[in-house]
Amino acid sequence: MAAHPSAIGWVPRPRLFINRVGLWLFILSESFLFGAALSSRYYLQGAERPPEVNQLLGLAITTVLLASSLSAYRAEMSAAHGHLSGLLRNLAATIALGLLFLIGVGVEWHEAFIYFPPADPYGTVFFTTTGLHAFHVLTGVIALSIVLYLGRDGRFTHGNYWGVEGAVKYWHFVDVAWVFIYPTLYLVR
Amino acid sequence: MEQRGLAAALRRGRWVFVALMVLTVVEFILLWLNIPRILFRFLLLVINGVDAGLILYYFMHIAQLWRKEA
Amino acid sequence: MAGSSVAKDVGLRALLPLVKGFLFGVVGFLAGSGLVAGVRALMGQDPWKLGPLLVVGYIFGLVGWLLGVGMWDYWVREWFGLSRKEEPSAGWGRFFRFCTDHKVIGVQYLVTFMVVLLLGGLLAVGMRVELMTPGRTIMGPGTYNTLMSLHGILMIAVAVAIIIGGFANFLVPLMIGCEEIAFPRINALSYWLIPPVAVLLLATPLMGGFETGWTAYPPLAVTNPRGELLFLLAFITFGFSSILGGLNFLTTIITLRAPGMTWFRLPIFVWSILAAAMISLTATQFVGFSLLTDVLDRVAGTSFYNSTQGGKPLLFQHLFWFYSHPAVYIMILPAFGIVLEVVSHLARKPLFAYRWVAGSFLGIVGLSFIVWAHHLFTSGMDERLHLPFMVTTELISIPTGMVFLAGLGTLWMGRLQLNTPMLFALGFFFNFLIGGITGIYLADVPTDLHFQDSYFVVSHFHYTIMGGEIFALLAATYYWFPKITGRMFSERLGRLHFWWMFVTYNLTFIPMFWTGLHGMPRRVADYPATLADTNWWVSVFAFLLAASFLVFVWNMVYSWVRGPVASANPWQARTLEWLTSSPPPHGNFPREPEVVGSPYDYGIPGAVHAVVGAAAGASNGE
Ligand SMILES: [Cu+2]
Repeated sequence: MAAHPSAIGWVPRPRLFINRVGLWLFILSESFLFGAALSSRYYLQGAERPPEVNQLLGLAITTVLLASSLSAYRAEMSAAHGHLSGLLRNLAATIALGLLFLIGVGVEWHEAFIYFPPADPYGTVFFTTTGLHAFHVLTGVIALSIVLYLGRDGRFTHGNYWGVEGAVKYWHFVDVAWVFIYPTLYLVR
Repeated sequence: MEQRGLAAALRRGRWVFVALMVLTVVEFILLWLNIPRILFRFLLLVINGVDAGLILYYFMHIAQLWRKEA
Repeated sequence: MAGSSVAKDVGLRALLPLVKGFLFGVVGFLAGSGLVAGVRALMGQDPWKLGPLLVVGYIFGLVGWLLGVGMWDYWVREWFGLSRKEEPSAGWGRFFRFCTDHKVIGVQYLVTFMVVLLLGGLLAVGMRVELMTPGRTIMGPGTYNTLMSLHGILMIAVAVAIIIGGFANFLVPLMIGCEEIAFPRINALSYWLIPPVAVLLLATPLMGGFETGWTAYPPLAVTNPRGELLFLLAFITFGFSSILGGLNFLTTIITLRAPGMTWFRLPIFVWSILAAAMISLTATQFVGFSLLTDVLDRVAGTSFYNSTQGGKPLLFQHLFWFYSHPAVYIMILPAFGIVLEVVSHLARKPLFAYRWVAGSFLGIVGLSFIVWAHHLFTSGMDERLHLPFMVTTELISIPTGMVFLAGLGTLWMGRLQLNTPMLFALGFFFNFLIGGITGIYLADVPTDLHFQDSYFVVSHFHYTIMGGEIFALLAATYYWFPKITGRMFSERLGRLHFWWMFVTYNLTFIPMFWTGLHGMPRRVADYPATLADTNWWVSVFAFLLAASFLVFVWNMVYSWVRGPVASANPWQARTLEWLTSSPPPHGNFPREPEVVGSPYDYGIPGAVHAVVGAAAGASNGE
């Protein structure tokens, strides 16, 4: 028997479309996870929030994350238009901004341990939700780093750039999750 | 031709980013104004809905799922 | 002919990936727990606190196991710019390694979970021994609780995964006419996440057991011995596997249908998998999160459920049941799909009200998300929520009833072949009717207040899942056995199995309604002495019920090895999986099939479902 019977008589699979559907479904699934975390915050705490929450830092890390979404978008567009140096530059910028965001969360945690530690009711939801989100940021940074490493030889700028597109879409999703976490933890009253 | 397409895409990305930042700053300012709670929560919901919509549509190209590409 | 192009495992070397996975897992565990100990020591905390060591060690160990068993060779190498190794495409070694062939994965799931099913059954036998007489029979209440909890979670895992992981994996690509699932490597990943789950669960008795049942309610789940932590980690891992499975099936069914396979030409089993996959893709995140909060309360000092700190234990029940109610539809929807499939093909009748059934499946999915709080009627939830959740719960009986009636309508005036798969399908209808009707009393608040946590609930639940899903599972096992193994089972032993199981099953569970009504509490090792006689008989029938599986296992194992060779289409059925050889070749079909009509047009002259290869002329018209 031939090793690849599939070679004859089959319409080629719409690989890009399959990948996109799969990733969007994954994003849908993950949004339920963040939905669970956010609804727990309201169930346990209503809209209560201790006054010590660092508003300026919150605004700063939100800005950093939104900026990283812009650079991620620029990376994907560069790949789509075959612009290698733009791709690499913007991927590196996105990774740097992602790391900066993580440092911001670290500073935030350092302060939070003093004012509302994890045993505190607000601390419980704060640490859980930001921790869950930071974990997603970390995995996104890792994915982008892999894409940056693999993309040095220009493989993504010659037609097939799904690797870039997938990592970038995931990154944007992490940003969307933060768009809802930010008001829930910092603003609502 | 290729480069013009890229430049237009980058310009669009910049505008989306500016819009996102403006919305974020607006919700930040709203926090310090003494508007009624209900109105504040409603505005937050609207602003974040628009935020998410902008990212989903312009950055994540959600329309790729149902629109045939050229 | 194949020569060097087909890589093949030879001899015991085929087991190498398992050994490698185990070693990598151990190394990962040591690295992870060492990391935590180091960090804690640096921060001036006690480095040997066992909880954090176990959790982080397990996560690293899990990654190590996956890499060792094949993810590194066939997947992760690519991320480092190395070329992927070529996967063996033949030989029995494939069943023991990270293999991306959906038929291999289907068999892996089926065999694994059949073993788990038998194991869970043995635990139930142990419970029934204890319950033969009131008071202490052979074990103390702590041991009984661990036994009961393990029985619960093992059987829940079987019920969630065996049909989707086993039959859907094997059959969906065949039925929709494609060569492989959408993401074969993710598919393999979801299977290889299962062995660590089994190891953790079987290790729980070594760490003090766990007494919460499979529902892990706090505060008990937070204060229970450390076995509970292993259970929580196992359940989270299992949930992750279930999410990836759901993602794969949805993507496959949406994107990979053969030319001509429109939505309303899909076999009904595929519809049921689509519906079940929607639930496992989304709702499972909630159970993952709820179990995560238990873990955090145990090891990270958060206070989700510590009411002295402002925590609210009821939150857990909301999060947990937001998944775990829909989860019963992950279990039962594929069962609906199976019995309708079997009934239509073996009664030689078009599936009655096909479109209504597909719509009912989606209706069940939608409703299943807004009924969860019926598990909280006696938990102290706000009473204003009682009425809405009672109404939504009872609404579900409309689409469910529609599916049931479609089954009966298909049987009506059919030319029934009363063979083993058909018998099990008919058994399903009988049992599920009892399960469904008794469910109404539990959805109604006034009666539920009395029945809650009694054996009435135990019996109701077992009538839907064991009498329902497991009977459907057995119907499927017999029906597709020739397709999967290429051999025929013994029809005589199959019928013996059915009658033996059907009679003892009902004799075991019918009396439980009665004991429940007379105040026998579930999840307790003891009961009022007045119920002693009934319980003694229940135990006897339970042992006989367990014994019926010996016939089943013998029939399956013997027939797989020695049974007569099966033809491509022993049931003269019309769906696509019967249009290829038994078992199907690598790549499923010689050419891409083209679908031209409904799969259920029995009795309509000249009707054709699909054509495989114009030249070959193989089609399934009558
Ligand atoms: Cu329920």
